Amino acid sequence: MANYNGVTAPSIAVQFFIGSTWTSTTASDVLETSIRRGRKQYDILAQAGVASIVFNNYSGAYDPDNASGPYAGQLKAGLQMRIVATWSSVGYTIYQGFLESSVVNQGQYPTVVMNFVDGLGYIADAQAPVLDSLQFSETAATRVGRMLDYAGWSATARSLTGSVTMATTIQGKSCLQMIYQAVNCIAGRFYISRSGVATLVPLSDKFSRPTQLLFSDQGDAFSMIYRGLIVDPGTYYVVNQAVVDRGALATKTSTYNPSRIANGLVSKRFDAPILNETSGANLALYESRQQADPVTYAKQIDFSALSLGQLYPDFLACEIGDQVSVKRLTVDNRSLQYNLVIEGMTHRITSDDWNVSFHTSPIDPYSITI
Amino acid sequence: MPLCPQITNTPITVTQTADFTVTSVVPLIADTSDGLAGNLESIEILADGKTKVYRQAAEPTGAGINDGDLWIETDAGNKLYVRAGGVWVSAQDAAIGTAQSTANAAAAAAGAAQSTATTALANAATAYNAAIASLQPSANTIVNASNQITAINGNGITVYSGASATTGARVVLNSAGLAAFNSSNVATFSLTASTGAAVFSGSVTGATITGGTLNIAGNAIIDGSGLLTATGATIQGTINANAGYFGSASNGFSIGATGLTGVGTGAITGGTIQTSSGSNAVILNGSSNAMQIKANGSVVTNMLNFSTSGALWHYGSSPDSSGASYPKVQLSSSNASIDASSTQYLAAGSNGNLVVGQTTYSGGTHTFSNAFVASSTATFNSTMFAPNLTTSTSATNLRVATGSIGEIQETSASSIRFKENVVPLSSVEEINHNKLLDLPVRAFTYKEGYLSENDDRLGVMLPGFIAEEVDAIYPIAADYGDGQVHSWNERFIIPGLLALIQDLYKEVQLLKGE
Repeated sequence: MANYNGVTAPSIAVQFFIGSTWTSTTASDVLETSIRRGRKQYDILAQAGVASIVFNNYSGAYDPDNASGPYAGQLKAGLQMRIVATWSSVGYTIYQGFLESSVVNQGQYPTVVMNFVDGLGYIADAQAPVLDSLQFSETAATRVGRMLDYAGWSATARSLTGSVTMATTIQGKSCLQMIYQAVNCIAGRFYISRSGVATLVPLSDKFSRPTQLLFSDQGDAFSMIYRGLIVDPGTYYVVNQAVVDRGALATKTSTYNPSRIANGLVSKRFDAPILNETSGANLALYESRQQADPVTYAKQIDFSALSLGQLYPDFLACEIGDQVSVKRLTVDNRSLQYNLVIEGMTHRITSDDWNVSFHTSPIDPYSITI
Repeated sequence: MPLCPQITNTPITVTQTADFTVTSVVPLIADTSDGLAGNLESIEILADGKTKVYRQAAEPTGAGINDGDLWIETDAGNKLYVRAGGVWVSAQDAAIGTAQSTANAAAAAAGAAQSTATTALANAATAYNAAIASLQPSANTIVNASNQITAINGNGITVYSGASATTGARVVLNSAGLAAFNSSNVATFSLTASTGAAVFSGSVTGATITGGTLNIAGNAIIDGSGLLTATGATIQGTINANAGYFGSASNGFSIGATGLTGVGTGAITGGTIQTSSGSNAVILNGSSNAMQIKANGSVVTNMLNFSTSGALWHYGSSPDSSGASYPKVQLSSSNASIDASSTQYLAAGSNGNLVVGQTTYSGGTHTFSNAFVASSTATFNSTMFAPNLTTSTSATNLRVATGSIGEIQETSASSIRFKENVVPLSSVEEINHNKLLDLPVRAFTYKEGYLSENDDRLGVMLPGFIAEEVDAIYPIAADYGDGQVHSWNERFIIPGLLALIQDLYKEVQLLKGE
């Protein structure tokens, strides 16, 4: 039985945003919490982060039809929710999203399962309207900001960096498609942070992220034990030809021949309406090189988030794009180390355990000025 | 920063090398999602069945050709025709012919200009070759107008004017840095590329050094924050200061053209301050907390604390707070003294005592080892003690005169050496001793408060005379003080008494018949 008291393990609070205030639900009502953020593998677009919370509904408080309950009239789609883990009196938001559905079980053991989706799902529903003519030659950050405006996203919950100038557009796509065009143009990353901030970072961001955790089966100082480790040889992710599709502008294609000869031609198209021709060529060069060599890496790390002691602040602060490291001593006495980037994560918090999986990609050292 | 070891992700910049194949393709039709292709399709539909355009060399013939159709004659410079009245009529714009003529003239002019340019280019090439031959006498050297030679070889780039690129005065630039040598082949300055270290053997003039640390032979170091660390540094000459401060503007010292002025609680602590570097000076010695006076090249006196609570000024070359160095002037909470030695001194105590050469003090009695000497008038406001005076049968008497109350004078002497007009007492009427017979002999006590409380005869009946009666009967024996009768003087009573005794003695002898 885990003791989520803020001392033995972090205390966990599920909070609803009601009347401009975050209101905590009764901790003992939360039977199980499941969270998934980011993506499971790094060659796909980011997936919307989801959370599923099972509430004990003996009180009827979580029934959306209960007109006399403490949350009467509030448990509607779009209700903001966040999950806060508190350790040493410091609160860490580990998920923030919007209510999408409620499943009410009126059986002998009444429960309500609430499903939430984070900002990516919220933004994905919005469309960028078709314009009368090609407009808006603007930076990637400005374009993402406009898309967030279309989606009605809060102006204060965004952190956008991306200075590459994009070509004019007539729009007519979903806001999320438009945002990923901008992400492609800067070879960067877009995600909703654990505290609900829409975040756009450029290519250079990967060189400034901290190493949050060290997993080791050798008892290294400040390390954590892992329960499971899935290792991938990386061949599936090889890309040695990048086709940068700039729309009406010249398509830039770069092929990294040593990889093509070794692995065969693996081409990938990047929808990146980048204005400057040289920038487009540089983007193609970078994208044809950065995944050209298959790299063995730890694809998934499974571990328990109980009894972490002094490592709790580092664990709870983990964010998509941060770095982690895994040390492994094989049975034939080989010391291996994988340096990785967090692409996504899942949590399953029950009264007995707190299971976490990190979905990761290998650290990529390649850089270029776009 | 997280607790675990940090991974260093060192960037590798991707550059276009032979390993890459990069192509660029301009799309024929813009992104169909923008609607352009749809528009083209609409245009095509509208054009279908209307005016036809023939792009071919041969004249279009046959059915289906209508008036208004267009023919572009591709082997005649795309000449344009319009079908009119069943025949092809030239629709060539007359301006094209004009433009063609103009173009032909321009082409001719351009040919002439090209010929001129070709000639100029050839001349320039000749001049260039001559210049190169002059500028570059050998494969790896360049000569300028001052005959300074630049050598480019394995040592890097060397600029020299002597005979060799490896000896004599020269400047050398290579990946190791920049260095200069004089005619004696001695390095005069160097800049090391890997470390940025700079070494100058000459003076650096007119330079502004920004940031970093200026280290002068380890003796004086000024860092980027302005911190000056001096180790064995010496300041000579004059330092001109204008409106600066040591400390702060409110507490410290202001530095102006006239010197150093204390501000607020500014204080100089420790160290040594001396008024002159010459043979005579006043020195404030911080290490011993003493003020020293140097005379004729040596410290002769020291002023410092006495033990823990007094002040001391003594003779000697070094401070001594024990009070054992003499001569000295010593101040404490209860007394002040001037001491020539441990037994030769003058001390004034808080009890009002002035002590000369005290060796012991017990029971209110001071014992003097030396006489108290006053070169002029000395005044005592209380009892003066001299209990241990030596005795002598020939000693001159000491008396307290009454002319000025309390005045101590030597009693007048009796030697004939000091006297004249010597006659028998009875021969002078006004001091005839028989007048003493009328002088009443009295008994009395002194009034309270007149005698010392320690006087043995305090309150006791005493025999004596009354000075006013002496003055009335035998005035020569009356002493005056402050303009009035004060006492009587036995020195002028006794001779009269002896004369009376002598007279009585003679009468007794006569009565006895002897």
